[in-house]
Amino acid sequence: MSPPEDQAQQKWQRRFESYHAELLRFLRRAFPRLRDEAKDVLQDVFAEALQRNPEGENLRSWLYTAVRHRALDRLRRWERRAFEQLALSQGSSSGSSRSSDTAPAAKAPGPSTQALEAERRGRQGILLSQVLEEFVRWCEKRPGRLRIKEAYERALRGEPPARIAQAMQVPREQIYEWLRQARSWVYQRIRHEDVEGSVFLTLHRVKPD
Amino acid sequence: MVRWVIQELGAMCPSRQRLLAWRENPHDAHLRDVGYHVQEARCPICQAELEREG
Ligand SMILES: [Zn+2]
Repeated sequence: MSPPEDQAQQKWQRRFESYHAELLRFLRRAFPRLRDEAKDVLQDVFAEALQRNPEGENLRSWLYTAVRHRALDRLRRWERRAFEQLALSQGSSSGSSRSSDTAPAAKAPGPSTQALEAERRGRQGILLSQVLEEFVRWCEKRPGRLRIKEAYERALRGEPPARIAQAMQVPREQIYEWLRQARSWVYQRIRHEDVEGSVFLTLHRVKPD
Repeated sequence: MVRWVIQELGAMCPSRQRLLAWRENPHDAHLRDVGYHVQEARCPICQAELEREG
C-alpha cells in the first residue's frame, strides 16, 4: 500500500475505533441473530467507509445507516442460503426415499414438492420484505395513509379486526376498508413478480375475527 | 415468515426521521403508528435505534 493510502487507512481506523464499541452494542441489540457475526459486519462497514470516504457527511449517522444495511444484507443472505440448503437436502433425500419402498405412501407432499416449496419460500421472504418496505414508504408520504399502515401492521402481527378496531378506536368497518386498501396496494405491487400468488397468500391468510 | 420479515428485517419500520420525531412528540396524532410499532409491537430494531440516539 502506498504511503497516502496507508495514512488514509490509519486515519479511518482511528475514527472507526472510536465508534466501534457503541456500534457493536447497537448491532447486537437490534439484530440478536447476528450476535456472533457482529464484528464481521463492522469489518464490512469499515471496508466500505475506506472505499467511500464519507468525509462531508455526519460520520456517526453514516456509520449507523451502513451498519443497519449490511446487517440486513447478511440476514437476507442467510435466509436465502438456508432455504437453498433445505431445497437441496430435500431434493437429495428424494433419491434415498425411492430406494426404500417399505414405507406406505404418505399423504404428505413428496420430496420434490417439498424442495420446490422451500425454494418458493426463499423467494417469498425477499420479495415480501421489499414490498412491505415500499408500502411503509408509500404510507409515510401522506398523513392520511398512516392509519392504514398501523391497521395493516397490526393485522400482519396477528391481531383480529375486532381488536384492531378497539385499539385504534374506529368502527370495525373502517378497519376492513383500510385492510382492503393495504392488500390492494400490495397486490398491485407484487402481481407481476409473484407469479403463483404465493407471497400474497402468505401475507393474507384469513385470520379469525 | 411474516414475523421474520417484520421483526428481524424491519420491513414495517418507520423512517428514522419519524422515529426520532415520535420520541420528541409521543402524543402527535400523525405518529401514532410509530408509537404502536415501538411500544406495543416492541420492534427491537427501532428500540435499539432510539437507545443509541438517547
Ligand atoms: Zn422497527
